[in-house]
Amino acid sequence: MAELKKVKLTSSEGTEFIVDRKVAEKSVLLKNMLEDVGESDMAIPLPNVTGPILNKVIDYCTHHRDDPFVNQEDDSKKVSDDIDDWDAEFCKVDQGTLFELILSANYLDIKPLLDLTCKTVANMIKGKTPDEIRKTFNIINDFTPEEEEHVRKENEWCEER
Amino acid sequence: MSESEGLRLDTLPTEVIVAICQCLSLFSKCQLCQVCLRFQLIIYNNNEFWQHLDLSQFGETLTNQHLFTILRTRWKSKLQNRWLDISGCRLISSSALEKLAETHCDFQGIHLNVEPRFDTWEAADEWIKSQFYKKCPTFTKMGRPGLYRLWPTTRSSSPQWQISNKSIQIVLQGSFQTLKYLSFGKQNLNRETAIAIASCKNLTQLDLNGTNLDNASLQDILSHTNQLVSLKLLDLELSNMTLIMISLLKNLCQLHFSVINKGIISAKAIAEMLKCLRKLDDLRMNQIMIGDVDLVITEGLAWISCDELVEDDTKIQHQYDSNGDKLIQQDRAFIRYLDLSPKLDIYPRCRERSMLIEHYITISNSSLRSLAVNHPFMVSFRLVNPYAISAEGVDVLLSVLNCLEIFELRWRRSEVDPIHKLTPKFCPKLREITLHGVDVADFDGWFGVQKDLEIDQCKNKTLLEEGCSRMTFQNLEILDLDSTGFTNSHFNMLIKYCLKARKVKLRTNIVYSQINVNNRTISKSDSGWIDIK
Repeated sequence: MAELKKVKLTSSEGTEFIVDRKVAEKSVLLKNMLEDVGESDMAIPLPNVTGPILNKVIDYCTHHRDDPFVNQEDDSKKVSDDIDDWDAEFCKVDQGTLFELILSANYLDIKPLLDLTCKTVANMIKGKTPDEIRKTFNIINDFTPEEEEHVRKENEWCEER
Repeated sequence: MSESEGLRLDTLPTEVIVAICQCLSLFSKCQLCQVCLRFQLIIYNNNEFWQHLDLSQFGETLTNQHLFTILRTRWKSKLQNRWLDISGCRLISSSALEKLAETHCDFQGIHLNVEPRFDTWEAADEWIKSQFYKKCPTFTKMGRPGLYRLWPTTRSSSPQWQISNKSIQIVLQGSFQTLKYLSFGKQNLNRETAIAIASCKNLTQLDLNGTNLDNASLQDILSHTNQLVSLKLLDLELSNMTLIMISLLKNLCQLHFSVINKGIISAKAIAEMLKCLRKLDDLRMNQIMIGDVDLVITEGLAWISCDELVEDDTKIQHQYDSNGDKLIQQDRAFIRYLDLSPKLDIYPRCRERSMLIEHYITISNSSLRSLAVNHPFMVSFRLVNPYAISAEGVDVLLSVLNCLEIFELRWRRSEVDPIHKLTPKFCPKLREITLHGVDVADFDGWFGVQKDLEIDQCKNKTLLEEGCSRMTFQNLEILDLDSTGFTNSHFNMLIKYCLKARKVKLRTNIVYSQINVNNRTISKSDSGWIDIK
């Protein structure tokens, strides 16, 4: 059975991970690669993903291995409060890790993981003022005072009342 | 701290920031673009974020100036599929709309309802939800938008917002080939505007609630717009001929209309129309003044006849599964939203009896039975002032509606029996409950408190086995009850176990013995609603 085949992955620092092919195929990038390469024992190098992050990604894919593949082009509105308990727990990491997960999900093309991590970040943004967002994410305000006033004016219609 | 220092929100690739913004509401996006220059550029320049511009949430304060600022900075000339909702934006003038039509044409959707649209607010994010709870007439005035008419004891301070017919025609002229979605709720439209609407042949959604259009104008429109999927004609006096025009709209999924004049429109004609609308899954009839609503339900909406059925829910299930020979018609969609509310007038000043009911609808248990057999997947069911139904009939229906999220039943307070099947067991997904003049047999059962007596009454053995886990309405957000059986301790359990509860209205005076259960604050507003946060 092809389903039981194992796949070797190498993280950026050279650590090797062996996973079920089915788990690896949650990543569209790996799925396409495996289809192109066919049967092979060669490890697939993932120079953009560090070991600890790859470990988390594999955790996620293993937990969701049996989820049905979701259609990429569903236009339905993304609501960000429909995160289940396991996923919420999975996303309880520091900001650096969360952003690395986003980048990896984007690179490996794992749509549900990208959605989940983006929703988590969106939840951290929601209901905050620009100043609070800057504080939360340690972002420097690079507007000049004039520009800042300008952009504030352009958005004053949507102030909280 | 983390090994990935240097990785920050503002240094992520553009595609990722766009993906995050896709999960944000308009409000949050507008906060985020004030954070730093890069976010501003990414958000302003992403056409996808601005194609569908719903400004009705900001209706009270949005001026012409604001509107033009938004369009100047965010609507690029190449923007496709433009969609603008300025419903309830009563500071926007007719001339501003004409000016808008000069620079922007080929709209896909235009929404100019006099009142903000509340139906779209429910599903969205937390901020929009809080606006919904703050502003929706259900909570601020006396009742549900579009249905209950406030008796004019209080003159509204601001005159109604009306866009001139000329301006509307100018906007339509620039977009008649592309328009798919159009709303004019409560705008006073004339014949020329109707002709302009009729020229929009690609329309799929049309809202003409309360627009004062006559039947000739409506027929003009309907004869040209045969791709309609959604049609709203509340507060209009329709004729049988108009109903026939509607029955030709084969793609119609959503139909809201008024049944005002018994002399002109008959239950039979409505039933015949509904028989033709096989894709219909959302039906709202209000101001019902026809005699026999039963005929509409048991013939118009049924695909299985259930005349011979006895009132036993297990049998109903069985019949539903196996029955082939009693098919009235095939390929009928399941009704998911059904609203049967006659005309109600509300007198806000009379505290004691704040609601004066004008009339009742003649609907009996046979309708409820037919619905139970034919439409078990209803998500929303509103029934106001039924005339000839019994608690037993309601229970038969409730016992099969496992998908029900919204349930409204307003009954003349009389000696009807309490209902038994409105429980987490049968309707686990309920998020809105409105019960007036109806008693519930067992409020304890709403919160998983079970007594031997009640289990006996339910005649349901599985309930005993599940007794250990607390069964309650997990999703309940809105509760409006006038039953005196709902006590202080029920209220406390509601706060404790129904964690999504936001708005509660009760007839009995609840004493806030525990203000701070689960860190939730409780406050009472002037309108009589209790806010839970």
